[in-house]
Amino acid sequence: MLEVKEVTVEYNGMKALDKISITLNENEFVSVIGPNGAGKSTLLKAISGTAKCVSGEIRFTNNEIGHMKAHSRTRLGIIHIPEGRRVFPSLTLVENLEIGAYRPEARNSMPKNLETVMGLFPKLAERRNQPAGTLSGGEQQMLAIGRGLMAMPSFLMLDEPSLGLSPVMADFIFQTIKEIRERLKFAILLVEQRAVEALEFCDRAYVLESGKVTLSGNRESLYKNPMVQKAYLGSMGI
Amino acid sequence: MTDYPPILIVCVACVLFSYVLGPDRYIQRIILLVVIWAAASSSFNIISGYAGQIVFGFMMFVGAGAYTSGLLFKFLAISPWLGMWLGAGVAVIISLIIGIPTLRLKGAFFAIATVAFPLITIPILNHVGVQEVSIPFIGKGASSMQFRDMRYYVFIGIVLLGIILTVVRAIESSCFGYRLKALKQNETAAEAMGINTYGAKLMSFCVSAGLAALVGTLYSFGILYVMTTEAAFGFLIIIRVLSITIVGGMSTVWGPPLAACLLVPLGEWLNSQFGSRYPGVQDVIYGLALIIVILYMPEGIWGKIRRVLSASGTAAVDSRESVAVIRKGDVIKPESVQTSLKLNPNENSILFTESISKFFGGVCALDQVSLRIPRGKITGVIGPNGSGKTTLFNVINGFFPPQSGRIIFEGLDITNHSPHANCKQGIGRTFQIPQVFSNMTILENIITGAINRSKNLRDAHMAARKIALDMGLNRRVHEPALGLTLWETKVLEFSRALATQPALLLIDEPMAGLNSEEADHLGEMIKGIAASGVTIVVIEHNVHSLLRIVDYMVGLDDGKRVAEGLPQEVVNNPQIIKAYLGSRWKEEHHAGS
Amino acid sequence: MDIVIQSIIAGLLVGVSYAVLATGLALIVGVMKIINFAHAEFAVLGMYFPAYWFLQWWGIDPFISAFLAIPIYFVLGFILHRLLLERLAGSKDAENSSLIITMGLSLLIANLILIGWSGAPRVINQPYTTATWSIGTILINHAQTYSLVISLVFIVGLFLFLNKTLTGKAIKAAADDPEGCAYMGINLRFVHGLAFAVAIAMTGAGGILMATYRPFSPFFGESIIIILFASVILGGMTSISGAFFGALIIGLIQQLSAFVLPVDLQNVAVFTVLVLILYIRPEGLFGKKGRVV
Repeated sequence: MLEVKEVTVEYNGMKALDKISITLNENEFVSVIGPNGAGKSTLLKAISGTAKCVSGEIRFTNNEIGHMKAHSRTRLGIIHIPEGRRVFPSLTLVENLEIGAYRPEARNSMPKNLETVMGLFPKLAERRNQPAGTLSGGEQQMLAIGRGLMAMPSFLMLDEPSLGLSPVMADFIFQTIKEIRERLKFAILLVEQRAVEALEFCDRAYVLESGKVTLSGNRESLYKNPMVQKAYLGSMGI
Repeated sequence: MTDYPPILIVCVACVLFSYVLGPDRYIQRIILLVVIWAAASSSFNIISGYAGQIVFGFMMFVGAGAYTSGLLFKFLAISPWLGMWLGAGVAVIISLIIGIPTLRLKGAFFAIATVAFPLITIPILNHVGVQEVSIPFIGKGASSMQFRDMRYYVFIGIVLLGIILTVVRAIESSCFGYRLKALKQNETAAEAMGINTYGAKLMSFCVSAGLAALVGTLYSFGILYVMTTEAAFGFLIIIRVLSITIVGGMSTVWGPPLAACLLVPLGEWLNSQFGSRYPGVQDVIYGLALIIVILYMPEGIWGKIRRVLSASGTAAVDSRESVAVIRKGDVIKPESVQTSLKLNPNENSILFTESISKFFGGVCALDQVSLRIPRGKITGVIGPNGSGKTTLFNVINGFFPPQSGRIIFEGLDITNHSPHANCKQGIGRTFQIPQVFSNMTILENIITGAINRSKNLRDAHMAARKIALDMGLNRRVHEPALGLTLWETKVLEFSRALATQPALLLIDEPMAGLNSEEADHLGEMIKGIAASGVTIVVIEHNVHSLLRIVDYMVGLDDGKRVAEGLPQEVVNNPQIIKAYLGSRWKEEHHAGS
Repeated sequence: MDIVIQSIIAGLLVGVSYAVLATGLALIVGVMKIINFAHAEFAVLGMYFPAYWFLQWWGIDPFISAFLAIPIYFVLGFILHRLLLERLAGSKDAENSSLIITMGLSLLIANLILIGWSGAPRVINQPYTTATWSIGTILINHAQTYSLVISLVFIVGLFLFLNKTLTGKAIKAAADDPEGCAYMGINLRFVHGLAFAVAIAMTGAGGILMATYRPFSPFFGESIIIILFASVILGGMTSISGAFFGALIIGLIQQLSAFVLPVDLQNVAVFTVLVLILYIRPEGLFGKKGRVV
């Protein structure tokens, strides 16, 4: 479904991504792990179009999308939930969800999807008319995910959904992602700092370091791989 | 020293030019207008061009000069030669009244505030009865600045213009000018280098105001004769001055005079030809000129000429070759860089933070963090994204005051001090995303750091050259800082920070984006800096490379300090492991072992 | 007492007419962070074209012109944004550049009006311009009242657009987080142009409403632009409802100042208040602290 071929992204004079290639098949759940600064977020941005590629190709369902502007790529069903939650603080919770359904393909089903999302996150239903800026970190993350779902993605990218959340909250988020995955079948590309959680639910995974893929494989093999430890602490000497 | 003779030459040439053309009032009046608008624009250029704060209400100062000297002459028979300086004094006071509260705010607020003042002044003056003041012609000639032959006015104007251009040039090539250039480009970095941005802006504002008032006096005595509030405080003045400065070139010495020579006669010609049928055609042209120049040639005519001339002079340097030079050839000797102040060598810790908390809106970024930073050592700060590391630096630096808690540096409570004050005390900073001044050369960047510690520009220049030599940038000092590779940019940031002679250097994620070889090389550089006595605190994610250089370590998570001590202890701290890897990691990994 | 009530009513009437313009300005500043110094000039332009022109040539009532102005100025605003302002988005010197470009634009418009219609003050002379209703000893001008009603319609319309339509909410989102919009599939460039167009449309129409009861001249904008900024700053710079209330307060200050100041110093009171706000509370009455530095 998705093919990233030899993509290079430069940022402030450095290569954030260096001739990277990954693939993703329909309905697959792929995780990307790696140390900070490895380029994981940049990879998602390159796919969603919010970062420019200096070279390389990105193909989605066999169509070259590298030239398309970010807001146009959403029309193909590529939905990127960025890191740091990024809700619109002065819009209410409901308005944030409604904006999630901005793309024309999702607008008609907006009322029905609102119901679904509220069902997934009952906590949000309680605070529907609160400005999103007043919500807690965990609630904002739920909102960000719900907002991404409102767009009815065929391909969903999540960037560090557990960032800055308490362990309990993080666990809840991951549980929800698992549930969503089982209920609504679409492909997911997950970037996470926490290796174990990232590897728990995925089908396959890539390890990124300094803008390059250093390891890839299915869940089993990566879970047991000692290199994964290195990816996180740069062999801290444990 | 080679900069001033051209000003003198041009002025003398203009005086001769004016003299030769004879006493025809019409021609001399136009020349006088050119000179007056050139002078007014040049003084406008100081605050709006060099300091980058647009003063839409600039007419306030021209009018202040005009009315002060005019009224003093008419009602108190005070000679305009004295009156002009009193007018300048009034203008400076007004600039302080406007500037002190509003220069702290964003530029737009300042611009709007400056417009409000003339709009308040005009109705009040009208009401008081001085809407129209005719300046009596006493016929005493020189002592009352009243001449039948306009060429005398032109002479005075050119002298005034010469003075103003000299002031502008002096600013441009002085430490003060460096400070303005830096703060205009990047206020954050400028503050971190010890530049008092607020003070510099205020100073520029006062200088501009005073000079403008001098021009105002000449304006009322030489052009107006009958002063009206509309002519002295009206929008016409800012239109002329803004257009001339923008078209000519902001932050250039010759731009405004050049543009005045073009636009003023053009305007007068348009007015005489089409003025009756199409009144306002002059201002239509000025308006168009503003829009077109800002969109397509923002550096102005003279700015563009200067750029073209300098571009043809420098030869291109192959950057790959230079990087190789930095790595292999020139040995980087940061140990030899001087540091300042060793205030309390007996005290073990150079910096304490006592329970500092920082909130942004409702989000807690730092939660009662208490640390001690050991003197003379390299301390590492680690923690996952969002744990508050950079916020900690920003609070210590002075960019954000903490909501609660104290910061003690060398026995001094610096909790609410501004970044520039902290820099002067000896705290240096490099940033996560390098904040070099891209409009300056490499050397100029380093000079910006050095002027903090030097008596004059020449000393700063020498100090900067020495640092450039020690850091391996020697061969490339005159290259623009824009377009350097990441490695070079980082070396430049370090050099600039070292130029401020810090006792404590805060380094934020220096190894981001570097490969492991470069990261280790940078680590060596940091060790070298520490060897010369600088205490270092470094935030870094590349824990592997960090462990090679640190003596002490702090671990943050979720805004709290969760670990502090020797590196191996911190790195093996279960909370740190959990924060980086996730809660299941310890279970999985220690379940098996 | 009646004089006080008369002044309060006058203050509210003029305040609402400023509010139509001020809310448009707050929209531009809030969404695009552009300080539109030419804002008042669009209002003045509307007074001449279509209001005065249509009245002179085809006898079309200015109140009708006010509604006709909406599509005309919408298109004008959209084109101007594309042409001049769009390239400023995200550039380093955007704030200063936008100040200068809009200053140039205001010069251009005001002087083109001067060339086209001469500097003599114009007046719309319709029956309602001078007719008044009387409630006791209080006189209420017809034209001002109609303007009030239509102004409120415009303002409520803007409010509904921003809060009840998806496009309006997208504009609010763009004000909150311009870079985050791409993730939603919002075309930022288009949304900015739309916001500018809506604001200019309101301004053009709002100016016409003003023209129905007061004389106007090409440089009228010079005096009201700072009043508009005072309203917007008082309201918290980027808040549209703040600008509405800010304008009402400014209108009241302007009219009520007649009790303490001579009439020709009315605006001095307003400008002094502006200066005081900048000194004491630059985030305005409704703004959030820390947004201004």
